[in-house]
Amino acid sequence: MSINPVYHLTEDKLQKEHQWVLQAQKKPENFAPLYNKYYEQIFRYVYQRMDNKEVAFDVTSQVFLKALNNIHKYEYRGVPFASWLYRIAKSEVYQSYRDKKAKRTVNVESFQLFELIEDLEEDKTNENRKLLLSILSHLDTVEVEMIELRYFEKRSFREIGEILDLTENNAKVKAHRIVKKMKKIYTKNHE
Amino acid sequence: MNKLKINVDRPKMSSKDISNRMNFEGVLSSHKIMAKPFYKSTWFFGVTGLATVSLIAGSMYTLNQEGDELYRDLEVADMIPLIRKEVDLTENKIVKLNLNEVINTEQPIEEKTTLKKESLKTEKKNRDHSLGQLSSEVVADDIKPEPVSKVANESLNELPKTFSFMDLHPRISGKLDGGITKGELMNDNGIITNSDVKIISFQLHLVNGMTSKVFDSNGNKLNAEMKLAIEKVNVGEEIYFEKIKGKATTGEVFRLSPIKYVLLN
Repeated sequence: MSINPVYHLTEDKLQKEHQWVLQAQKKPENFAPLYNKYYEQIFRYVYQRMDNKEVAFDVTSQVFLKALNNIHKYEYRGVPFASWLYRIAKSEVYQSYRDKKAKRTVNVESFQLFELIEDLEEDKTNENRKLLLSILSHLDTVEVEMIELRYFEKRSFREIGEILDLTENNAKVKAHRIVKKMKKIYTKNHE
Repeated sequence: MNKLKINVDRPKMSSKDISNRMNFEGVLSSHKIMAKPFYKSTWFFGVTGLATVSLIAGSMYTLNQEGDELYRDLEVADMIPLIRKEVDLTENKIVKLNLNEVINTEQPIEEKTTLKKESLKTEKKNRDHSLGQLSSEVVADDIKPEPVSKVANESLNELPKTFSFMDLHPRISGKLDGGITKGELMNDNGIITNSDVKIISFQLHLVNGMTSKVFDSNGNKLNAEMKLAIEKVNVGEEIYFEKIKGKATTGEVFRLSPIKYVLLN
């Protein structure tokens, strides 16, 4: 599985990013490098979970505004600044669902669905594809989030853990349980 | 019921489209609008709080100092009778003001020094002892008084003619109030003043537990009955001398302030 290169940083890059954060804490204008670096990532994360493009842009702006307002509270914990932004984005996306009384949206590519079917050790048929979509729509929010992060966005367990505020192992265990649950549903349907 | 809306193969947005919508200035201006006003900031609360505490502390310190000064003044006022008590009794003669006499305040009194016979003798003695000593005496007869202003005369007329300006507070064994021993209370001098006003009668009130007794005396000394009653009074009880009447040398009788003691033995 590929690794998100923007998220995973070397120690030097982490330190450089931390210096940007320190500068931004002193003066809001210094937040610009962080904004430029992470805007696309955060927008894609938000838009992946939204139906409307304009709402996604609004939510993204809201995420950065919230980050700038609370930058003085940020504490460096040896992880990329993006994990903090993702947590804000997750909270803002759910706030947007509540405000607009909208349904949770999942945007997925067909090839991603077939990859997941393969991981579930099932045949890559259209029937299984339809069944997978049905199974996904009946998972709860946390489970959908995990499948999205791991199988559709191809994030590492470490990154998933940092976004969902879990340990890497915990993220692995949770993902495994969800896949097991989906397999069970597949088996029941085949019987 | 479906909890999710699933979109499959939605057209992707290019990085260019996304970066075209970037607006850091907008985020910054929103941040500035939402930023806390200075009066809600932590440093403002800190400085204001510190200033308030300093102001209160300063005011309290100033008030305490003023109180101390007042207390010091009162202490000095309290000490005056005690200082006067120590003054030699010979100086406590009533100064009679002969209002017919007119004091010359405008011209200095001329001093004339004369050597008396006694002074000469002393001088001789002193010479023997290699000590030179001269006595001087003011010869008041030679002073010719001149009239002073009417205002001065009027103020003098207002002063009482019958008694001295000395301390008229009655006392026993030199004590005006507070703790007193039985020995001090029953001394032979009785109640006196630091003037030539003599005590002619008084009333003694003794409180012993829940009972109280009143004794009358004509004179300034405690009689045998009073002394006997005092012997029976417990330590810590209060003794009152009231209706104390004094008589000036002019024969005028007047009432003096009462005294209260606490028995010490």
